[in-house]
Order: sequence, then structure tokens, then C-alpha cells
Amino acid sequence: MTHATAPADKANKAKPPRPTLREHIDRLVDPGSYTPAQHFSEGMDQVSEADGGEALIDGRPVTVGLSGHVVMRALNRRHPYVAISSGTGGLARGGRRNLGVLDTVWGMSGGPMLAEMASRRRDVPVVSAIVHHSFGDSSFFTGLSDYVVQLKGACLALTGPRVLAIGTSEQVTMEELGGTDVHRHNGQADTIAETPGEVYTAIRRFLSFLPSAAGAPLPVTAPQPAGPLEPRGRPLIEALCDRGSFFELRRDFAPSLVTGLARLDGIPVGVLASDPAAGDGAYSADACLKATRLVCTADAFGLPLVFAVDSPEPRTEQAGISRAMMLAQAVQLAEVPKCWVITGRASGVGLLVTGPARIATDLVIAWPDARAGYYDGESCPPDEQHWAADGIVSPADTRSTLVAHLRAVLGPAPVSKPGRILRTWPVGF
Amino acid sequence: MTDTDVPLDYDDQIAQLVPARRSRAYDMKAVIRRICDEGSFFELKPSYARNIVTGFGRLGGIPVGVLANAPMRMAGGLTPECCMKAVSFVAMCDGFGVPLLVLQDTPGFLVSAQAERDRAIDRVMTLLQAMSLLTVPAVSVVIRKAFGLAFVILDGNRAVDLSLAWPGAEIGFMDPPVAANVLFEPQIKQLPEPERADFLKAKAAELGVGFEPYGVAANLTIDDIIEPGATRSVVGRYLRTSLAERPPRTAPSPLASWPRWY
Repeated sequence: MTHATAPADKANKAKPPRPTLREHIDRLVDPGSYTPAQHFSEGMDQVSEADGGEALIDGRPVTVGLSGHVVMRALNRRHPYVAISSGTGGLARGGRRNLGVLDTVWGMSGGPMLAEMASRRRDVPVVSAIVHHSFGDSSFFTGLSDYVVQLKGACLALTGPRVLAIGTSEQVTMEELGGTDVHRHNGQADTIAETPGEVYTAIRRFLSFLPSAAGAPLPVTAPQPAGPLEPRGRPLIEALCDRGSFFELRRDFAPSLVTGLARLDGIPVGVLASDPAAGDGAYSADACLKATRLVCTADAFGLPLVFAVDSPEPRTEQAGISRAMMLAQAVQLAEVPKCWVITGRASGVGLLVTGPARIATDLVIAWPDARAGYYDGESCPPDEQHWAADGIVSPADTRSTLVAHLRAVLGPAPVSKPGRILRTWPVGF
Repeated sequence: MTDTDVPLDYDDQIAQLVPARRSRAYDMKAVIRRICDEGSFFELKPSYARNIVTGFGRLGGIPVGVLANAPMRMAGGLTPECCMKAVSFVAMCDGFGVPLLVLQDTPGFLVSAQAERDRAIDRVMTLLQAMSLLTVPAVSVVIRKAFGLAFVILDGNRAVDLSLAWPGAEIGFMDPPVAANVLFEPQIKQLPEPERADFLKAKAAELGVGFEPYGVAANLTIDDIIEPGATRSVVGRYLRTSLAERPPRTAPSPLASWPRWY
């Protein structure tokens, strides 16, 4: 079914009915702020009274729509777009009359095939919430989204189990094909939500870190103190960033690298920290994909990047080198301030992305026990002769050093810079 | 770079390389070699993601990038790996200003639980993104069949300069037998078992009529239908004129900065 107004499955009478599109929107946005667009799908088999419209989230304007519908309104108004995704897309409506009508469906609904979306230039943040089974253009749209949150029980796949059964004779359940356990591990969902309430909270948090559009001011908040000092992984991020500000992305994908958005003295930043407790903190092939997506998003919307590096020498791995080179290229091309804290071993890819990416505004600081070298056997302690650190900083002084640097390079009213090279890079890594 | 002396003659042999029956495989590289100037086709990554063929050739002396489905391999169905092979090739062509020739014969993207685990959505949409960002002259020719999202994407998100098909081509939203099954499921369920197969066959045939290229051309989904033998001359002449008209680039294309590896 294309429309979220569909009645709940008859087989599941015990379950509460699925929320309608309108109910999802009303619970997501600021109370009473939703204004439906008068969008009539005339001539279609199913006429919807409204596929979306404008609303406020934390007082800032957004456009919310069904599965990518009315996205053009967000691109024109230059504010974020949120897709509440559910449905099979254009096939059921347009298929009978072949491509001419399918074009009309895609053109009218303004989904992923819209030229402005397909050649995504990351002018505004785009979010997809998979609240129910999403196939066809509902699923395509996630591949062009900066952020994807998937609700448990919803299936996200190019096409549904029924088409698979008919076309290829493969018998799979919704859960096996594209359930949360598939996309939490392959990285295609940034967040897994257990309840609709978690979906709304996640979207609001994600958007709270980003400007409304590339070129707009960064949403800087009042500074908060950091957590207690910890040496690695998530606790280290809590210790460097404002307490409670860390919003993790793709937690269960490539866990050796922890990534997410956070605030440093109120300034929104992208954070990437090795977690030696998981996969030795390695920049594995998947970890490089994980990092590249965040680097592109952060650069497009002007968020500084903070890397905490404690990664081992490289291991032989399929696609390991190519993904590492891709990440190194992304880091080089990123024009936002980039800061590195070498907390342990800067080896292998960890060194690769740190070393050649240095440009004038970058900061590389090392903890006293840090060591660098491509292979563990040739690593040496930080001093200006061996490798280019801007300074050796004690763990306790790390946060204040980062804050001072970011304050200095960003100035009193940080604004994201539009037109960056990485804005046209692929969205789904 | 144009050698206008290379003739762009009608080729009365090429049609024989492609069997009319949709399920029969054939060697797409043989088709490519006949469209390109003799001996000019230079294949890239021949052993990787073999369902899709990438390489450089010349057409009337003009260097051209060729992206083609390979019906010999899984009927030319596209895997996530094929998408990345295509993306890095297309980005290279666009980055260096080499025109693109797309030869389509594919049942679409191969869907499976494994493909979804292999990040099919991201891969497919990255190919859509790359094709949508093309700045070089691009021509697409549907040789035999092209369906759904794969057709839309390989057609440059419907924005290639010239979208062509051979007369026997099928173009539609989904392979007709599968589409009939999906679209008419409610009706099929109400029929007694023995009648279902005939009903499906009839519905698939009905849908198939709408997939013939003349109807598809009539609703402006494609620009023209050409005889197989005219492919080389039509594409070659188009490239000559479009390159002659094109002002030199003043800035690198967006795809020039895309990753070389994925």
C-alpha cells in the first residue's frame, strides 16, 4: 500500500493500528505547526488529500512528506526535508500504463527521480524515516538521504518479498530481506528505533546539529561541561564533547570506529573515534565507508570534524586499500576545520588519513604516549622531527585545546560555506 | 581529436549478432566491436563484475566510453558490484570529457536478500546520482530489453542527449511476466488453479504490447527507433555534431572529484 492511512493488517488484530501519515507528522513536529500542502494527485488511482507540507521542528521550518513527496518544496524553500517512508512507490499506481504514467507519478510526487534529488547537491539536509515496509521509490529515496532511521518491524528493500518470490523464486520474510537486523549491520540505517517515539526523537536530534541549508549559520547552543576523562571509544567522546550531546550514527556497522554528531562548547561537530575494544579500533573497509559518509555530510553542512585516532597497522582485507584511499580523498577534499587527536597508535589507515590531509586550518595533537608509523614495528613517539604534530597535549587539556582551536578558526558566529566539492559526492556509503 | 575520414557506414552484419528471442544470450562485446572503429575497443576491468562491460573505444575517430550490459552473464542483471564498476567508469569518462555510449539489454537490478545485505539501495542510488550528474554528451541504445529503474538510470535518469532503441526492443516498468503476476495478484487469487497460468500469460502479453518501442517513443520516453545497422552512423554523427557545438569546459565536472575507488 502506498498510503499510510491503510488499515492495520487483519491478521494482527491485537496490534494497535499503524499511525497514519498525519499522525506521524503531528507527533514529529512542534505541536500545531503542520500546514498541509494542497497537493492533489489528480488522475491517479488513489487520490491523497495531502502528501505532506510544512511544519516547525524546534522552531525551525521543515517540509515533511510521504516517501519523498513534495520534496521540491523543501529544495525551493531551502530548509530540511523529512520523508515519512512507507509504500511500494509508483508501480502500483503507474505500472498499468507503463513508463509514461510512471514518469508522471515520479514527476508529480517529486521522489528520488526528480533531477534535483537524483543529482543530490546536499543543499538542504534530507532525512528518511522508515516507519513501515518501504519498497520502490520509498526505498530509493533513502539512498539519497543524509540520515536514515528505521523502525523495528519495517522492511526496507529495493523490492518486496512478493516480487522476489515471483521473479526469482527466493522465499524470504520481510525481516530477512530488509529488517532492522539487515540494515543495522550493513550501515544503510543510521539509527534503529524500537518505537515510533524513538523515530521522532532521532529525527529532531539529527536536525538539531545541522544548519537549515548549506550556507546558513551553524546551530550553536550554550556550552555545556564535558563528562569525566576517559581514554577511548564512546567514553572518550563524552569526555571531549559537551555532556550528553553525542548522537551516535550507524552504531552496529563497523564498530571499530565510533561516529556521530556532537557539540564542542556548543559548536556542532562530526566526531570519529577509534574503539580499540571493537576490532582493535581498525579503519576496516567498512569503517572507511562509515567515516566517508560522515565526512561528506559534515563538510556539506559546515560541521568541523574531530578524529580521535588509536588504530592498528593495516591488515589484508578485501577492498581495504581502495576504501582507505576513498576516505583519504574525502578527508583531503573536506573544507571544514579538521582536528586530530592521536590518543594511541596512529598506524595504518589511521595514519594515512591523518598525514596527507594536512592543510593550514588543521590541528593535529598527540597524547604523550602516542605513537605513529604505518606499521606498528616502525612507529615512534610524537615529536616534531618524526611526525608533524602541532603539539603534545595531556588528555586533561585536550578538550580545551580543541575548543580554543575551533573558536579561533570559526570566529564568533560560525556559518557553513555553500558550494563545497564533496556536496556532489555519493550520499550512501 | 576527430578523424572525419573514418567512415560511418551502415552495418548490415550487426543485427545477426543479437538473437530475437529475449532469453537467448549473446556476446555484447561483439556488438560493441562492430559499433566502434575496427580494433579500437579497449576493455577495462574485464574480470570484475562481468554482468556489465566497461571500456573505451572510438567512433568515427572520436574517443568514447562504452557502458554495456552483458547478457551472457546472469542475463545482464545488475548486482551492487556492477553498479560500482559502472560508477567509477562513468565518473572517469565525465571527468576527462569523454562522451558516453550506453548499450542496454538487462532484466534490471538483480534483487535478493544477499543484494540487500550488500547495500544494494546505496549502490543503485549512487549509480543514479552519477548518471544524473553527467556533463559529457551521452547516447543510450536499448538493444533488446530494458526495464524499470535500470532503464531509467542507464538512460541517464532520462536525461541522456539521445535515447534510442532497436525495433525489437522491450521497454517497460518491469519484466512483463513478473509484472502481470504482481499487478493482477487479487484477480489471480480468485481464479481456479488450472486457469491461472493462461490468465497470467494473457495479461503478460497485454502488458507486453505497451512495451514495444513504438508506443514508448510515441509518449516521448525515447527519442527514436533505429535499425541496428544504423547504430554506428547515428551515434557517430551525433557525437561529431554535438562535440563540434560544445564550448570548451571552464570548470571541472562534479564527477571529476568523485572517488576512483569504492
